[in-house]
Amino acid sequence: MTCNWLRRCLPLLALCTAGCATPFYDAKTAGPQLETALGLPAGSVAIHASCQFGQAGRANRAAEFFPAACAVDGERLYVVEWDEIKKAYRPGMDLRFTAMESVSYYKGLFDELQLPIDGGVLSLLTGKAQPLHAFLLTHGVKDQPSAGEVLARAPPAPTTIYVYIPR
Amino acid sequence: MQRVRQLRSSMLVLCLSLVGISASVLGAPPAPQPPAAMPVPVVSPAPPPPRPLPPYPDVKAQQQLPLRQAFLPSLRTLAADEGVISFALLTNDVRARRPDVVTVASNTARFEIRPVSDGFANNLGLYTAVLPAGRYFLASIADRVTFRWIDFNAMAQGGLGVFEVKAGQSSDLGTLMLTPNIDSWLVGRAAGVLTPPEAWREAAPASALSLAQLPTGGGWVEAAYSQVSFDINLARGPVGLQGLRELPDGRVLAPSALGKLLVRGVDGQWTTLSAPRPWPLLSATAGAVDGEYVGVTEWNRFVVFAADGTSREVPMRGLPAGRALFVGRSPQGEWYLAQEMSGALRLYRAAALDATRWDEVGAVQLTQSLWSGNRGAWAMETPDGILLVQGSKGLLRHFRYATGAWEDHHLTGNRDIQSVDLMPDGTVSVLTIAAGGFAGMFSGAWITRDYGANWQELNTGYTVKVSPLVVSSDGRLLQAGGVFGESGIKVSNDDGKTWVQLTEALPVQTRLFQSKRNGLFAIRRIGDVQDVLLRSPDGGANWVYEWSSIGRAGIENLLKSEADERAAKAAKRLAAKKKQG
Repeated sequence: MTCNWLRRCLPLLALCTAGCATPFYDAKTAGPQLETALGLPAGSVAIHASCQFGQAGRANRAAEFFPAACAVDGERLYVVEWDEIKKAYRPGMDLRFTAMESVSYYKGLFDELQLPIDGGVLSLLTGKAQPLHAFLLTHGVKDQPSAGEVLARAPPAPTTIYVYIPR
Repeated sequence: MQRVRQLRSSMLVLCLSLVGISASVLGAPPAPQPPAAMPVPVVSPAPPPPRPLPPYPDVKAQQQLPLRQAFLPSLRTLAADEGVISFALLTNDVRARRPDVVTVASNTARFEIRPVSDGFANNLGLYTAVLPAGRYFLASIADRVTFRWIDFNAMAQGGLGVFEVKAGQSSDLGTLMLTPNIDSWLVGRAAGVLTPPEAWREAAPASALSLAQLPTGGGWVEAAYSQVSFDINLARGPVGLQGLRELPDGRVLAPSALGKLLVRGVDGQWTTLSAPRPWPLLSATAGAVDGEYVGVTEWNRFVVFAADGTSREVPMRGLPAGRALFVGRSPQGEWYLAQEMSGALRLYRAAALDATRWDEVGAVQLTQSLWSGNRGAWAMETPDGILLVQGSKGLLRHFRYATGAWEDHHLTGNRDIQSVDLMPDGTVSVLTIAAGGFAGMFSGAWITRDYGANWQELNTGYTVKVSPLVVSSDGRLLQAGGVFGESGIKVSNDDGKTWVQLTEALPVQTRLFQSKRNGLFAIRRIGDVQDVLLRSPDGGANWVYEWSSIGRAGIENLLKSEADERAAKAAKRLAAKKKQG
């Protein structure tokens, strides 16, 4: 029983640890900074949060995480990288809502927002999963029941990108 | 200084002439050195013209460059100064995984590129990424599962050359190939071996759309020395064997890397057939027409090898994306395909290879353990059907062609299985997973003669077991082993009660394969990277050369020097005994 619990929780705890160290992000100033980095008009970012992102393949259980921030405006979901050298945000991933096949919300030990991407899944977990899910639905993205949690140790899809948002 | 330059230049030309471009292997455990008598495989390409080494930064300087993530075209809107590259990377070794990360570098930054659709393939990776416009070279590759990586030195980078990313354009860089040499990896490229658009559509449909929309531009800037290396390796042959399959008439098939199918005719002669594309061939069987063979490659391709030596691809339709591991054909003419994907190994059936609909017949699960890694799954052809083996809980599922019914049994105590072998008479031999033990320590050897209904655990003569035992056609038990002692094969004539050393001629990593018509085969490793196929006409006592990835002469010299060494050891032991006596 203990063994099963550990098996389940250790990778998630590792994710939590990875997601905790985000000293670059200040919720008060990040919005304008992100808008500048993304070339968006002032006040267009609706939700933002600090995050870490990493990619793990099916066999690669040890995702390496990079500091970033997540944001959404009226059209897209952004994962904006933090440049440690320049101490500034720079564009990373961006997904247009109209190009999103569907979105799933999984309520488990950690909340999880799942977006099908090229050959895999983009998993945003824990913080902001629920408000982001609601936001995407109101912007026309199709809701799809989740097939289950996306575990870091055994990603179900070939290409899995994790975005960990601290609570 | 001038002298040093001359020396460096001469050494470069010499190295390139001998082995193509060599890359230093860092982080990997040191490969065992070959015995002194083993000759270097001789290849004699036209020596490439000497060329001054391009000014690539050294490895340490490269590692100081800032590291950034490169994103899939589908996950990033192309900025005005960005373009897209795509390429395939294959390993010419059936056991070497394609890298998890390929790092390319400009003079100002490094970019990590990840493969798309990891689950589709093991030896072949497809990579595509958005990069800022500019010139790049290959900096390093890494496999974070096996903790191996290669930092390419200036010589390797110079050999591959520079590629250019043009703003708003897309370039297919072709195929890169890694081939193991004795103590290094050779890297080569072939700009002409392109990934077909449908493979991109399967692997990364949204990115494929982006690629298709962009005008073509950029690519390799200059010809590469390593093109020679690629061609040599393509011509020289595959490294490693996936396994052997004996057909009812005695022909033996051995699928391998680089899309090569090795065929042993009934006359004992080996011929090598090539698929249209050098993608790893994972399984092969006899075709519907006499003299024809059908194989499956990574990335879901059937390959039909015609009797006239030509080959053609047959796209898999009506099947989900996955990694096809097994192809078989029933006596009724139905095709069966076992495919690994999404945590399961599934068996499908269709009336024809090009059928648009494949029906799932059954499946076993692939599971992972945090403590001891993956639990594998296997598919193999039995005399009357197909056997699926699930490593987790030791499940054997046997499907009979005649009845279309499944028969399921677990290994006694639901023990997990780490490897499995099937004998020509249907006897199944398995090795259980040790409870965290090293090199198979505490693993158990079990056999079943009725696909798992009844099991027998056997003492094998080796405390540490690394492979399942083999049941020979005359009922003897054979076990390769000897991790902590004399390696070789032990034999038992009394169902495992007593064991004697049959031969010391084979190392621990040897895999034995009992055939019905051709005796006992052994796949042994040389220098930790190359495979040699041997055959014993006398049940394991003596071995003769059959095939190898590095040529016959070198192997025969090696075998002879090993035999001499053993004879000298035996003479020494005898002399010591006499002295004591």
